[in-house]
Amino acid sequence: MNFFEGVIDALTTIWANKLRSGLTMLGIVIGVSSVVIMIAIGQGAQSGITEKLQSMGTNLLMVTGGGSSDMRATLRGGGSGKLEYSDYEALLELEGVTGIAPQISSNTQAIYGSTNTSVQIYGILPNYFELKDKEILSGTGLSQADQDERKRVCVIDETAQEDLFGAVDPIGKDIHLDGKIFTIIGVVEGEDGTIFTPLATAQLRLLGSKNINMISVFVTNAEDMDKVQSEIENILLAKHRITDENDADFSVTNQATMLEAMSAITQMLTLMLGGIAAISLIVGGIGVMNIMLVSVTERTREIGIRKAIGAHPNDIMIQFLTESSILSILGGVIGIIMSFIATYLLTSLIGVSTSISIPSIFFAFAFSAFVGIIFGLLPARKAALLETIDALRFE
Amino acid sequence: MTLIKFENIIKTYHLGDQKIEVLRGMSFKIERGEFVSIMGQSGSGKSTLMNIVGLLDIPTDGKYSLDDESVENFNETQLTEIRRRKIGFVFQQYNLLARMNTLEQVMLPLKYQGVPKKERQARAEEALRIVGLSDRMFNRPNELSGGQQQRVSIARAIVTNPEIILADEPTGALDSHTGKEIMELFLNLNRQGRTIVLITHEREIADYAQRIIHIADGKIIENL
Repeated sequence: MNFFEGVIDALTTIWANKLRSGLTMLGIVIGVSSVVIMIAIGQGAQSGITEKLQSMGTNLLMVTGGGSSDMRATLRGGGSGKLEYSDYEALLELEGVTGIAPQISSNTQAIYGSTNTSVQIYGILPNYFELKDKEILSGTGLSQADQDERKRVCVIDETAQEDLFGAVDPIGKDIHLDGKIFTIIGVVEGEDGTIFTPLATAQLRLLGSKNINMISVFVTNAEDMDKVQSEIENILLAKHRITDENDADFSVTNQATMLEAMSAITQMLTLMLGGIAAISLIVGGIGVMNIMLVSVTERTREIGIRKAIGAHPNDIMIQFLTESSILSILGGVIGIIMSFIATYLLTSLIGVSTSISIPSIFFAFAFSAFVGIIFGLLPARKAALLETIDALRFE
Repeated sequence: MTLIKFENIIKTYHLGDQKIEVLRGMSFKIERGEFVSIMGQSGSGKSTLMNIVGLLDIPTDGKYSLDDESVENFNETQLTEIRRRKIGFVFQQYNLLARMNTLEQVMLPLKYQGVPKKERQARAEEALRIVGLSDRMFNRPNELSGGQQQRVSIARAIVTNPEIILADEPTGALDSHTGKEIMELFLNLNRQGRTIVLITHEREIADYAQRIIHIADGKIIENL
């Protein structure tokens, strides 16, 4: 009996017990698809976060107000307000940096005519868009004159444009921000729903504060990250007259370090999700074993007949192993197809970012085949070892 | 030429602490081409005898030679191999596989022998022609009468061209008319040179054979 015929026989038997085979496979289908889907969600989260962080630039050091140990600052609202424009000016002496961009931010309502949407306001310097690598799509960016004269002008991003204006050209239009009128001079790429104004304008007219929230330092070479970071700390500690760096009222975040930390967290998340899903695959395998054991008992007489007419115990063993393997492999293939459909639906309907990883498919498939063989082994062995005369007498 | 040779065969079973002697020292010979009936009431040990002859069971003691080969020391693989080539079984309950059609049933023993598919089919068709079932090749057992099912099982037994056909009460489940037809079939097979060992408790059926070995209580009481 060759392999191909054995497979055909097994398929015939599986087909003859459609409902039972289907239910057995369902366990494997759910197991395999949950492994693939869970890993896809984990990987989707990982690549989403990585992409976001990388789009901000990896050679980036972010200086924020409030030290990591400064509880009071944290309680006052994320430690904002501790940095001042003079801190930015002090950092201008740094070497090995491409640029430095201070910013102040807040959330408010933007109103154009009868349209109303909530936006975040970023008060920035003219160098911001270039440093962040954001393209001006129409109109102009912010100029030094806008900053110096504290003009009420703003640049809006694509999402803000869409929300407020739809198809209308926004350049030259006036909008209300926090009750004050601003003129739109440009549209910049971006999908966060952000409106950019000159830093000085935001400080004076919108927030009434001399503080800034964050200073982004763009380091020229990745190798200089640590060096620049400690220079920033030295400059600001000296300027703030703080001797113990543990008392620092600001903190410097290294983008690369953050990226690593986030990757580690999401990777852990992926493994955890995959691991939990793998348990359901094992449960599915036990289902296969269960059904195969029932099948052996039910077909005791058939086994006896086959042995009497010339089947070797190995023939019987192979017959049952083939059946359980095919059940598992078919279940695995269906599970993989299901996971593609499910992740597509998750992404398109709910917007969960997913990324199916090829290794997870191979893993899930190999695991389901493995499950079929391992959990088929016991029933197959039981079938092979049946005594022919006892099996023939079995009613 | 001697095909089957039993020398003082003993078979005991253990049921708990109880020891049951089913065969108590049995010796006989069956020549190639013979048609022999083994007759006895139920409980006489005739089924055990057939299982031993058919290599489905091994004797507790004594010497069994099949075709001049002593079978005592054979392992499972060798026993399977001999059973495959030399023995064809016909059971009282037909023992057909419910899901297969007639042709597939008859092809199955050849499958286990590793015969290529084309040859398998040709030989199965030939065997079905011999038992007169050429027009029932694609029916399943539940679409066949008892007599037809028994013919399928005879075709399955002869398709491998075995040395011996072992038939255990082959007419037991059939009416007397159909039973006669089946016995005629065995006679024909015997005329074509096949060795047939028939197990039965009915004198009428046993009389079809050239020789009757009459057993009772695990011993031969008459060997005519």
